[in-house]
Order: sequence, then C-alpha cells, then structure tokens
Amino acid sequence: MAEWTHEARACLESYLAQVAALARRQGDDAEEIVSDLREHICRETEETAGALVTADALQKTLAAVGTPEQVAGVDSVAGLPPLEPGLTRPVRTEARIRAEASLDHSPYSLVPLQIWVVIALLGFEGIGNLLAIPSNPVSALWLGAKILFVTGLLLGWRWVFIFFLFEAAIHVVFFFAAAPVVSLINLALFVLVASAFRFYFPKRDAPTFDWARIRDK
Amino acid sequence: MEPLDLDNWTTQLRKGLLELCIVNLLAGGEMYGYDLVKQLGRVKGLVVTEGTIYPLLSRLRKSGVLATRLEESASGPARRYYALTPAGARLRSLMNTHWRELVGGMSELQEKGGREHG
Repeated sequence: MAEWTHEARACLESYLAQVAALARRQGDDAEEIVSDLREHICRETEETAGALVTADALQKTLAAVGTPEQVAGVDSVAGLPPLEPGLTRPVRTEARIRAEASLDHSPYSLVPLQIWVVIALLGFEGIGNLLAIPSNPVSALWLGAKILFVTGLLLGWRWVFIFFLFEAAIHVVFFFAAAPVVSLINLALFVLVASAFRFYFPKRDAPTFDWARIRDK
Repeated sequence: MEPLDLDNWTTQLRKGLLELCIVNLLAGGEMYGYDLVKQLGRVKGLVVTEGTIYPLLSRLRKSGVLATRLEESASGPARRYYALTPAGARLRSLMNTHWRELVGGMSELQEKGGREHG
C-alpha cells in the first residue's frame, strides 16, 4: 500500500469535506458519494504515483475527477470540465468552507473533536451543579456559565473561546495548591480548547485547496 | 438575440444520456464503481468528469434503479458494486425504446433537411 505525504492526505480530506458539504446541500447521500470517491481517488493516485503519494500526484487525479462543485452538481454545466482558458475558480478559504457548512444539514460537523470532549466534560459537571442547586444555590451560577460555554464553543463565539481559556487558566492557578486534581482537569480543558484555536480564528486568506493550480495543469 | 451556447447544449445533451449509458453498461452484469466510471469515460463523445458519476449512481440507487453491495478489498477500502434492479431493467428497456425512436426521428429530420438544402 502506498504511503501518503501529510500534505497530500490533508488535501484529500479537504477536498472530500467540500464535496460532502455540497452533496448534503443538494440532498444527496454524502457518505456514500464520499466513500466511492475516496476509493476512486486513492486507487487512481496510488496507481500513477507509486510508493509515495504527493500533493502534486493527487492534484493530477483530482483534475480528472472534477472540482467539488462539479462533483456535487452545483455548476450549471456539471458533467463536463468547464476549463475555458483564462477563467479561474475562486480559491476556497477556511472562512468560505465554514460559511458553506453553516448551510449544511449538520451545522456542527466541523466542530473539532477536542471541543466535543470539553463539552462532554462540561455536561457532566453541569449535571453535578444542577443537583447541587437545592443545597447550594450558587451552583446555579456555575450551571449558567457552563451552558454559556457549551453554546459559545459550539457556535464558534470567539469571546466565549477567550473567556473560557481565561477562566480555565484562573482555575489552574487558583486550585494548584489546594486541589491539584481540579487544577489538572482545568489544565486539560485549557489545552483541549486552546488546541482548537484555528476553529475560532481561521486563517481568512489561507487556501485549503488551490483549484486554480489544478486548472492550470 | 443571443446565439445558442453550443457548449451548454452539448453539456445538457450528454447529461441526459448518462443515465442511459449507465443502465446499458450494467445490463451485462454488476460492476465495480471505479470500473463503471472508467468505462463511461471511454464512451466516445460522452466526455464525463469522473467524479460526477458517483452522485448520479447514488441517486439511481435511491430511486430503486440500481442496487449495491460492498465487497472487502485486500488493497484498500471496501469496493461498492452496482447492479440493475428488476425495475432498473424495465426502465432500461423503456429508455432504449425512446432513444431509438428519437434517433430515428432525428435521422429523418436530418435527411429531410439535407434534401431540401442539398
């Protein structure tokens, strides 16, 4: 089995994610289409590239397979490669992909895994807070904060992302001596959420896949 | 008045024929999706973008024209095989009948036009 470079693998996943988002918008079975397409692309690329699949080799395959819009049938001329010389397709940015994903049937499909882990942990803590309200009414305040964090982290609210990091960092320092376990849990939450930085602050002008490059080949 | 966009016309014509090509290819028996796409690519004049076939296959499966089965592959992900359902076979027969009528009618028109302007 051929080995894929990190760049090639990232390009493939980016491409398939774009196809999936567009296919869902069209009401198609995105999983089935992406599964077939992945098989097709991997087989074709590995046959031509040999032992090591590079991003260049992948792009040659994708040029024949079509742009995500063509594959999903979004173009009015889908089914044919509309490669008129001089025309270029706009470069797709993280911001654009996120905007498209917001129209998807599954608006949370791009939320990073680590955020889901944090949300699960906050959920468990929130249940504890809820049960503690009768004996300690202040717990309602912590429960409210957790609801805010879960909502904000899921919806990509930047101020909640920053506030969460600030609050977790305070807890790490505050409980460091008195309750090391609590401090450690907050450190883990801080690291998990901080690692999703690009989800909340995507590189606006960084292309994830340069279609102009493919079209020019 | 704008002239006819020939590229768009041929695109629409080919798109309409893709389903007919697929059901005729599958009339000979089930096919692996990749092979099906490659064979369609070799149909003279059809000019397909390979990736566009998979959504079409998925839609044909959802509408009951095609059935699929997965087969494990030693060299990679499981392979999906496509086959005509009985309803698909009936549809193929009807589509081919319409196609022959259409081709016959078009040939008559072309001959008639050729005689009048010849």
